[in-house]
Amino acid sequence: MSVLLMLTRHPVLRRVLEAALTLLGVSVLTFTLLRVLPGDQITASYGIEAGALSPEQLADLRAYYGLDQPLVTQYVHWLGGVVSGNLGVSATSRQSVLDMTVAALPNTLELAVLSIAIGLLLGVPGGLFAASRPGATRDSGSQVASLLALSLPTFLVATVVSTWLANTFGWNPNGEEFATLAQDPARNLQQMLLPALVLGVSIASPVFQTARASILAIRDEDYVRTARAKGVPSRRLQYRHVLRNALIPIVTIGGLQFGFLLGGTLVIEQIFSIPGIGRQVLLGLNQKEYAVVQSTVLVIAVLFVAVNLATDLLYRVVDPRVRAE
Amino acid sequence: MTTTTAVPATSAKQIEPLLAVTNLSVTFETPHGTVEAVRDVTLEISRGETVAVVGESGSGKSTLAASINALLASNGRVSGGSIRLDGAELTELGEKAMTAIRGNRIGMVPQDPMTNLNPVMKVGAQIVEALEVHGRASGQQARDQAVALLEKAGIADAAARSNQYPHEFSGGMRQRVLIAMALACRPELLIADEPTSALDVTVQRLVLDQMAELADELGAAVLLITHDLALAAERADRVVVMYRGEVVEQGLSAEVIEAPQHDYTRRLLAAAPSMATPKIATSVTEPGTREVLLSLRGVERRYRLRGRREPLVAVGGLDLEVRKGQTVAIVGESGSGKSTTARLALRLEACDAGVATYRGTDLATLKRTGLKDFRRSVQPVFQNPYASLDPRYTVAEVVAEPLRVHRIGDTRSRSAAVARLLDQVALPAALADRYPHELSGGQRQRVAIARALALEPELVVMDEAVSALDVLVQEQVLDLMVQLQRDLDLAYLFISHDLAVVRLVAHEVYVMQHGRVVESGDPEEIFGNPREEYTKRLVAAIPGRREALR
Repeated sequence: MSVLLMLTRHPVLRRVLEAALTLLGVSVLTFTLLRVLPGDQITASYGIEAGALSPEQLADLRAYYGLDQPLVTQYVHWLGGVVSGNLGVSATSRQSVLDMTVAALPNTLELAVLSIAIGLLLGVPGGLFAASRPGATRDSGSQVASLLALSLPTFLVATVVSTWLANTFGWNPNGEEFATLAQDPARNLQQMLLPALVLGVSIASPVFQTARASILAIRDEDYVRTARAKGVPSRRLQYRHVLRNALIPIVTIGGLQFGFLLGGTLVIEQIFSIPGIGRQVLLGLNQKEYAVVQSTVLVIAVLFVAVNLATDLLYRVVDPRVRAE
Repeated sequence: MTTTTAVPATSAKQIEPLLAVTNLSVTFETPHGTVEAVRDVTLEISRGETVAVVGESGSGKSTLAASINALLASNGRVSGGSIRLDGAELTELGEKAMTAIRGNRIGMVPQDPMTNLNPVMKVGAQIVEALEVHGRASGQQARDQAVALLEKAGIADAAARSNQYPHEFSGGMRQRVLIAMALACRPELLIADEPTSALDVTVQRLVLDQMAELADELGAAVLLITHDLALAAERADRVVVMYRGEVVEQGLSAEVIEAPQHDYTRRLLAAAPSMATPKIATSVTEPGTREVLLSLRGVERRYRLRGRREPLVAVGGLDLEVRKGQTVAIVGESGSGKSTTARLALRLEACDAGVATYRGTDLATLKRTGLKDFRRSVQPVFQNPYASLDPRYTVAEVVAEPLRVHRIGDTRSRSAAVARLLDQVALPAALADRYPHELSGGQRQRVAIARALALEPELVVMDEAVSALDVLVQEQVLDLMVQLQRDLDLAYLFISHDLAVVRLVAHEVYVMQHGRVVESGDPEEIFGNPREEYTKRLVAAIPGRREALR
């Protein structure tokens, strides 16, 4: 017990321990939730024909997939597999979930990186711009724009924009078959452009609000006044003193948003037919493919936790006071 | 208005003063209308001279300082008069021209070292920046200069320290960094706005000495802004006294102290406690026979520090007793364990060793009703009257809250109690519906005292409760404390770093250092004839020991 206590005292080990517990919780939750849903993998894969199966056939199939085992055994079996790198196999496509994930993850990752980049590039300069004259037209104008971006549902904007582009300009890159970045960079980037923009704009909104608020707060700090008193010109003041300190909350919100993006932006991936991790979960759910859903959700959770850890590390870069702890 | 100009006639004719402020007025636009914070102020500073501007908070002294290097808050502006630096008019300069002057020709040392350094920049880099933006030096040369400046400002091992961040420095060290920063470009004028009021008394003296030395070495004139007349007289060639935005008196320091012309200056002088001020504490008859309220026996409190194996002993083996109707004071520097002792006495924290009792009952054993009774009998008043009142509560709500929490009386009787309590602390009943931000610092601290008195306590723990107040207000609050003690037979545990104040009100004093009591007894004896080295240092650090001047 005392060893465990010691482990929890060490800041890094503590974080790792917390992460492991989080992941364990996620695995138990998804496992249970899937079992609570009516129907199972077999009835789902056979659709309406499932009714034609005799009880014996059903029992055989269930035994084949290991669904006749007690839940705890199933769980331990699955988790044991996951730990040794076996995420299970999709019953419909006969593909290993690991292979599926390896194929889908880069697409989601690419979309997430592009979206967060757009979100930060719009949100942070926007925040600086709005905060430069609080209460002025530029401030209220950007606030209205940000609120609009936040309140318009992404699926609506996405559908409207892509339909409009396709109808008016005949440009519909997402109508073609999806190309990965490695296969055809030009087509891939065209296909990524719209979804990344739609997501980026919706991320820009909270980033903008956070940036604006923290810049305004930091501007009134004593040390900013002192920097002015030593003759620091306003541009340098903005970047070296104000923005540098305002980065701390911006990193927080950026990290959170990025984590959510990695969870697969289900709706956007669906609308723009991007074979990402969100779609993988959706397809798995439709088919009640336990292995696919469970393992993919766990992968997403691992990514989320990893992003959180990375955000913490970024804090240490941005804020020396955190480094000292 | 009495104005005595002390600049020798010859020098005034021959050379233009370095800084000439003439008929300056500064106004602020507020939601309640226009406020004139500085009115018709005229003063001059010659090269190499130190001039102190003295006044209480709200007197306009900081506004005056801010208007000189055009750093007024965005709602403030110079509405009249002129500010000339070496003959050049500053009020007409644009932001860009002003940026070239700030830090270069006018250096500024701000008040609070804890908040005035950029937390994410190394201290060396912050000094380098001052040199770079004015093209004084760059690269390695600038870094070398920064290290040399830090060294001169009194920072040991400056080369290594310059690579550290502000949070790795103590308050006194940070202020030295700020002084080095302000003087980096060898400015002709150094504005020091309450440069040491946030520091410990013993450190204050050292930092002021170092600042004066460095300014002298670099030939900078100093405009010292302070609320402390004694300190001003000790440090400055001339003193300018401000009151409600106007200069009421100026002259050579010794003259102003010896023969103050204006009534306000006389009041300031009278209110500032010194070691010669007569005591105001009530005499306690046969103190030894009064019942013991609070008793701490061998009390210890340790804190575990991150990254350190040994716990920090905040309070170690402390013995202390407070009897009914008695004022017991604890003095010492920050970090000496004073405030920890207050928290232990209030049972906001538990002792790690030793026994704390109240009326003979061990505080550690108190549960529910016992604890509730204890909380009724012992009330706190904290240092910062700005932070210790809920900004969303009216004065009446603040004062009535303890009654509500302890379910005493009904709405009507509570509002009667509020009226009585406000009267007790000499606040007009009309203030009951106001919010804390509408009150002055002194009024707020009276509200905090009224709140503490609401439950008719026997013991009030005052943790630096008068330290943030101006001398005139402080005098009133101290008088109020003593009067309440006489009327209600209150006991005080009075924690302060200000020996002169402690001497006025305390019946018994404990001098603490590093969590231990180094000396205790009658304040007159302890301060008049300190035995321990530490106590001697504390006594010596009191600015302007005015007995000598009188």
